[in-house]
Amino acid sequence: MRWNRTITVVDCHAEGESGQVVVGGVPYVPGGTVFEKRLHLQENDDDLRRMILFEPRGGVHHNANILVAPGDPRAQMGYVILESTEYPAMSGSNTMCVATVLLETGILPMTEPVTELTLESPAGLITVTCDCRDGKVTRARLVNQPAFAYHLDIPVTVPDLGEVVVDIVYGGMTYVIVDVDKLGLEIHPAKARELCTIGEAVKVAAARQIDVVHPENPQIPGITNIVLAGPLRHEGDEIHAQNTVVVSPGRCDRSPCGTGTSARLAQLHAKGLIEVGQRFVHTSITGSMFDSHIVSTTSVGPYDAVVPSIAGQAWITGIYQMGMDPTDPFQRGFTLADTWMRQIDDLPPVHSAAE
Amino acid sequence: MHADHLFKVLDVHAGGAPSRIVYSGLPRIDGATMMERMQGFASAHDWIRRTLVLEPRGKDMTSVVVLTEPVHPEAHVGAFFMEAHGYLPMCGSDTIATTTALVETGQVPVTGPDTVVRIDTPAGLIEATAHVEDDGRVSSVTFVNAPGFCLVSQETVDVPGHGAVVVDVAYGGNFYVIADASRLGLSFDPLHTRPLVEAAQAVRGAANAAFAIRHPTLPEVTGITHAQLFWPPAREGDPTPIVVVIPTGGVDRSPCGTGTTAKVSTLFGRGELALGQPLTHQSLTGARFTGRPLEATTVGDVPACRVSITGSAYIVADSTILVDRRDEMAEGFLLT
Repeated sequence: MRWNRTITVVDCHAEGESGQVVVGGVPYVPGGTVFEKRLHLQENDDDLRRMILFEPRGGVHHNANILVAPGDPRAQMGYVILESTEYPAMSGSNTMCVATVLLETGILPMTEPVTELTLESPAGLITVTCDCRDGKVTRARLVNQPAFAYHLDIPVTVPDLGEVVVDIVYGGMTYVIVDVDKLGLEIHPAKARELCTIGEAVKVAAARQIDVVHPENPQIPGITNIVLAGPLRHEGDEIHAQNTVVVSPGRCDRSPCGTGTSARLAQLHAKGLIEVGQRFVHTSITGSMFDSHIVSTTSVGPYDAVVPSIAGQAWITGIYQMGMDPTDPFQRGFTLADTWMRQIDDLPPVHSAAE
Repeated sequence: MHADHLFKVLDVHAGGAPSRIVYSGLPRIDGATMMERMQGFASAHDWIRRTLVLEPRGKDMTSVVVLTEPVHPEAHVGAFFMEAHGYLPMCGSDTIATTTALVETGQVPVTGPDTVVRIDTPAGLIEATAHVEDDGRVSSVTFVNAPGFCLVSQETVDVPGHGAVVVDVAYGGNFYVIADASRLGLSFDPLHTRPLVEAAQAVRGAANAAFAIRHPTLPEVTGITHAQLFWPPAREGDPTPIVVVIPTGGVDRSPCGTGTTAKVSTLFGRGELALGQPLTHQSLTGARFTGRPLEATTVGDVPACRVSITGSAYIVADSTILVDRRDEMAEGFLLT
């Protein structure tokens, strides 16, 4: 056996969604903030992302996080998030995996029954409250960066579908939110392929027709993701809903999606459908759940915003020593259109799903 | 972090097809033959297959190799194979991956530049030769597959949407329908696999409707499960592009060991390939496997051919898989 690049990866999932955590083997990543480190990795070492996430090591449903030194002195750790087609600014399920791996492997000390963590994501500081018992993180509750609606009830023209009315909302990634009822779809595991095909079409159309710029960080990408939202159900004071987020290049999020749930909270609040502190239980296509609410309201540039809190549980499923044989023909991994929808080539300087 | 079960695996790919070789953590596997061991494991421990193959620990393309003590006295190791949809007695890309991993990690000692590894499988004893470089790397593996044979040669079937299509039906470990995709107006393009999968499944359906396919000596093996599209090479000496579509509709990442065996047997049977003459297949990932007819034989009363397959494999991870029984997804899930 001969390897010339080795990295140590703790495999983890949060409510079904993969969130591998790279804990060793990556050299010093320059940059004053985690956002700058994210740009550095994208511009200088994208082969690392391809090695972990593309086949033969990865698959279309895999995500990973690289632990890096934080730029903000208040943070205990930083992490750069890697996905199939981008380096997102924030991801809830990945953050739950990072917090769980940090505490359960002892990279950071665990205090029972509650450990408070402050982490630096590319989107900024994220506080995570971890319930801990017998060495296990039984619940990770994160407070996300503010989420806000750019546009409500805006029409998008989608090839073969015609005009679809959508909302454009930032929740750590920039989302299109559309009711599945309006698309004539239902959220069911057997319908996953159809949901993905239509979800991708709406996402790409919206990204081409609607340009948005984050008021505080113009380098945050425009529309790259979509929530297909199920109808709201009221149980006492609580609101329940199922959703599926179609992650690029076209597969269902296995979890209810943290940034998607944040965007949904902002959308519901902007429409007067949820109050601060009201419990919102979000269920994924696999049946897994996130427990969420709005902590407070704030503003981002000219937009009214909400501070979302999302909770779920993550599980460590493996420890991988990944390596690259210098004679392996797949030095940069590969993708095939059957499961990846399209062949994923080098990342352009992505600004949105339209490019 | 807590584990109720801990498995050590080597993740390897052969031609892009992922193999997960389990070398520690399995329960004792009893049985007088390798087939009994595979069947006993399937009835008592099938949760291990689901855990290692399915999400979130695996992915739908994962093929898991279970290593056991061999039954055959001359074998180095015993092995059987499991996937998202069940168990396999033999698998070509897994054999290339397993041989590479056993030699490169010192579990079978290197005896020279051509180191022989004998693997006892439910399909019989497989002899594989690892071609070992000076630095210890296994540059390629050649193994002799179970005999392949052709049951239907150059007959025409009517395929909805495509009209009359000339096909072969051949066995190389699975039954394949084989068709020339250039005549179907399809291109060999990794960006557009959906037309290839749809055409392959249509041809398979038409061939199953037209022919009652039965293995001559294994009565439980009936029907065509796999489809194989090929394109004549642009120049003589170039590899033959091939797309193998597996029963679930997935595209084999590798050029497919059993599929290449089926094709080589077919060409040998028609006199289009001589003993020892190579046929190289190239898959959509660019990976190549080479098949050669070694000797004529029979399966039942059907003329058949022993075929050697050569390909390369690479170790991509040395991994520990953890199972916390409190995790609701401990035994995995499948989302299509």
